[in-house]
Amino acid sequence: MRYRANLQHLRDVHRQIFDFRKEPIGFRWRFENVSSPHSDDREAALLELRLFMLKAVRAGLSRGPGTGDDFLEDVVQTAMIRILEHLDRFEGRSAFTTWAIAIALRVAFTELRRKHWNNVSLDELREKGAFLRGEVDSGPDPHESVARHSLIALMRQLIRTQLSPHQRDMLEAELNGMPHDEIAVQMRLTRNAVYKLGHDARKALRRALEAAGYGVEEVRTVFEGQEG
Amino acid sequence: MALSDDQIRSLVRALSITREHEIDCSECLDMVAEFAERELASRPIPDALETVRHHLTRCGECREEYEALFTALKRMQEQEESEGRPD
Repeated sequence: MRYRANLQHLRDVHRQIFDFRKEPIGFRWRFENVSSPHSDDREAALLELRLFMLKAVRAGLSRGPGTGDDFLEDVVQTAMIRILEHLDRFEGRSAFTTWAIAIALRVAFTELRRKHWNNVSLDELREKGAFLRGEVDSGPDPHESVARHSLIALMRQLIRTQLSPHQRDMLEAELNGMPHDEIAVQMRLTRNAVYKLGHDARKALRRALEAAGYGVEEVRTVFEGQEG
Repeated sequence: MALSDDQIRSLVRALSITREHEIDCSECLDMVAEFAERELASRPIPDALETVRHHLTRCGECREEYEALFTALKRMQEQEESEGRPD
């Protein structure tokens, strides 16, 4: 059950906090001052948090392409806003700074994925995927077992009959390598909604397979037994 | 919807680890900090956090972010330890 983080609770949790390392200096100070709009030290705490996050995000992204100083500054700026907006979601189960870094990295990767997938539409992905798969029907593979061939046909039928058009689109995009952030943009959904769409689709397919008399593990064995 | 045999195989693999209840990416973000700290310290993962581990097997984006978080924490810990060492 979610509950608002209050200072007394944090003080109690703080005593139980992990001892795996010395806590970042000012952990309690940072959180208390960041979360107290009237604190005299709030500005200093925000500045210190910002510098800490810059260092951490730089360490986490490992200087990959497109992660220069300007990018990092933008990421931390956006993350700071999100952190302040969602302080009530921090429950004190980790260091405040770890929680903040996780948010900053989410901001960073969302932006990097956006840049990478810019202007690639679901339709283009579908066409490109079809081309790479060689969609020209060359007839059944003589080396493919009957069981595997039947299961592939069954899976395709279930995808066609058990899933909504949205679910099919989402799964196809995911299986063609499009990240959920980008699927969300293309389908005008949130990332959570995309995950739920996929989860519901997987549950529907699993139930349909079982109703057709096939356990998922049995199906998996047939597929993976044919590899190599 | 045209999927290759490899994609169907990937889908079947995904179905085999599908659970009735799974957390979404926002819920993962709420808990991943604690998960990362425990993993870094090799401390036991309580049942409540096993949902994070499962989500990370399913969600490539959250897994990528978690790995970066773990790397960041590890590097900063090593740096702190290094700065604490006498010359």
